[in-house]
Amino acid sequence: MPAGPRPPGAAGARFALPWVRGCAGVLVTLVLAGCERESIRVYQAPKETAPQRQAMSTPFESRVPQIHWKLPAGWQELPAGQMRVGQFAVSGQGEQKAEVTIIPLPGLAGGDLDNVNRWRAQVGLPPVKAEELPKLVEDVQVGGQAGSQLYDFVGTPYDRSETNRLLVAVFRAEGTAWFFKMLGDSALVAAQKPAFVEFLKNVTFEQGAPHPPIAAAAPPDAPSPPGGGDGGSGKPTWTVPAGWQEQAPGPMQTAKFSAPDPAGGKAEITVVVLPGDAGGTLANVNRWRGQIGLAPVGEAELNQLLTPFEVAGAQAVHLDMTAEGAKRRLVAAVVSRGGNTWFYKLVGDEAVVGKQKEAFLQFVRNIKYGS
Amino acid sequence: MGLKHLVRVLCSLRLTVVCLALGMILVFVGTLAQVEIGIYAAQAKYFRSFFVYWTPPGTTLNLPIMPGGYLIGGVLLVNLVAAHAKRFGLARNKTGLLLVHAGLILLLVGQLATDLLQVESAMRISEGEARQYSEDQRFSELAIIDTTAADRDQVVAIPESLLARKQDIRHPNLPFAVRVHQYWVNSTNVPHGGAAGAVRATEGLGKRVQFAEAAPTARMDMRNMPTAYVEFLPASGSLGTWLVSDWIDTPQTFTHDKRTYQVALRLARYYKPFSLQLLKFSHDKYMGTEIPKNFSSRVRLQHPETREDREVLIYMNNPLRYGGETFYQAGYDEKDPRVTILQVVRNPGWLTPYFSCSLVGAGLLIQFLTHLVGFVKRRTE
Repeated sequence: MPAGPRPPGAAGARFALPWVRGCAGVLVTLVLAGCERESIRVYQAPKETAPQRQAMSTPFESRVPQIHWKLPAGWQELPAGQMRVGQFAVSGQGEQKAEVTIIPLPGLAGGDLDNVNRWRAQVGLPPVKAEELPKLVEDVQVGGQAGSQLYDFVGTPYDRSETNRLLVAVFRAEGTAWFFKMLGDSALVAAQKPAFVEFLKNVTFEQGAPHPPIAAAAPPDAPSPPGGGDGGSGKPTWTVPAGWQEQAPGPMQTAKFSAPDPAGGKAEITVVVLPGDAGGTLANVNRWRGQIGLAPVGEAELNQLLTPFEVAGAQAVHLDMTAEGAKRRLVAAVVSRGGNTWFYKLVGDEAVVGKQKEAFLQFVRNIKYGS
Repeated sequence: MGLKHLVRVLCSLRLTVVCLALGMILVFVGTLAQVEIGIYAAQAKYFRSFFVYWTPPGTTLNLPIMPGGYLIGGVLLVNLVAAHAKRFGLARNKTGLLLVHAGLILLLVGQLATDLLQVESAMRISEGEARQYSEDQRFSELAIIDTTAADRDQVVAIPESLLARKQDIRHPNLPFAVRVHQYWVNSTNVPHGGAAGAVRATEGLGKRVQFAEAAPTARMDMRNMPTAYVEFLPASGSLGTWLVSDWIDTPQTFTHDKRTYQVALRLARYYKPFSLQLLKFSHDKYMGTEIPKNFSSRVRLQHPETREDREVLIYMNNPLRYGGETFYQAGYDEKDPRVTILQVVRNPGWLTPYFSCSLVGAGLLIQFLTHLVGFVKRRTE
């Protein structure tokens, strides 16, 4: 610090210029060196192997067998990506197209009923009950082993006029569930079914090889209807109630808000849109009940929980559940619109959810959906 | 008159006091701001800036309301140097003061050096695996990788900050220009077709997958997932518009002029001339809890040029210092107990605080002894 006595004879502005120049030089060098982060870098890198790539970036890595296949005639192999370890395009007469995907997921990857109803929704079919499941399953060989399930659904998806057909084979081994799917124009998929079954039979698994990368981006079965199109799932416009703070949404979430209470405690609001009925209201309600520590309910009790309410141009219900012991409360609204289901959920401390309930329902009622 | 006045102000002790007071206020306000906007944004707004700006609600004005860290530090540095040059000169009886001030100047310049030059990154290694690069934890890069050569890849890495300008990017090592159609600091996935009106990819994964812009996150335990739509433009025609995103793990491949390229938007990578192979990762927790007790990574360091090949044990408070970088045991992957996470810090200025503290200490000692000796001499006379 420039403290201390003033020496005699130093009153004039005698400036030691070399000092100043020196300091300025150091500063300019530092700033220029710091700017390097902003420039394009060119470097040589060793060739990257697949295991290296995956270990670095994916939080969902796990070791599962690697798969090999024999490409059927007429199938075109596409680069693997997202969660898919194999991907193929199949073209038929005229504009007919189908897509084959192979997705491995760790664990059991959901119950059969939820999966089946999600697949049915993709081809516009209504959900089925658990007791109907066995009637839908065909037996198929995967990798030379019998006993895997094959499902075959035909229907018209909500956003298309043509009939689509979906074949799904599920093979579970070594803690991994493998999903083989063929989705496309009905006639083409019907013609390709023998090739698909033959393909399944001929796949081979290699033990202990690392799993290719799985991105956190898409839900395992994010529907990708050929031809795309907005199925009414575009982000709607809404007015965020006072006191809600927008948060970065998690995977699969369209939006997320937090509603902290000045008196302590907090609640969270999430918006999720899923195609079809997303496994049915009962399955979802029971999942939410589990989240706040309540026991599941049956179909009859479910109807007592649901209250229909007014939303412009759509069917909507809401429900309100409280876990007395844990003092947790959950208010949810389910809006079915344009082939999609919108799930709005307010969950948190009992008192805070109580205070926010009206604002939440008002928020849901006033949402304007795109075309 | 004007210059003399300016010199007087620059040399004054008052200016020092004002700067120190402002510095204290800045540290206080900046620390509080971390709660709302997160540590990185607070650092940028309050400390790595010349002014702290404020936008009055309901306006687009950007008003400077107080000096930022660079300005306060810079003025303090000028004040110190100026006062020294003007008042003390290089008199021998001022050696102590000179050393103290040199120490302070070194501290200020050293911290600026740390701020500008320090690079922090992380290495995730799974047991058995060898890794030759670390990844930045916050900044991504658009990597265009020429994979044609059989032995090595050539990478042209374009930093996010250039993508954000949404301009055409040209580089002598690229036979095409990169046109940035869209760039989002943070993004979220949307159902296919959900992002109405958005730029559409004409090639690659982007034909099937879509993302939408998301609010940048300020949380320490989350990071932004940038997404961009880029088009590659050779001298004539176009190689199509591609969706690149941190969400996509696999590079996308295309060919141009008999060369094969991969493109990926990924965390910026820093390659090293050596590799670290994780031999064994141990992490102990206190029994019955999830509280970590001890982590350690036994790694094998191999440097082909120096022919080094040795094992190193990295554990808490016992980092590996190698090649100008420090490798700390930072954490583990909650989803995979075989993955260690090492924090890699390159800080060319890491020794400056030690030097400056030594200089200040020596200066104070000399100053004190000079006074003491003078005092004792006068007493004895």
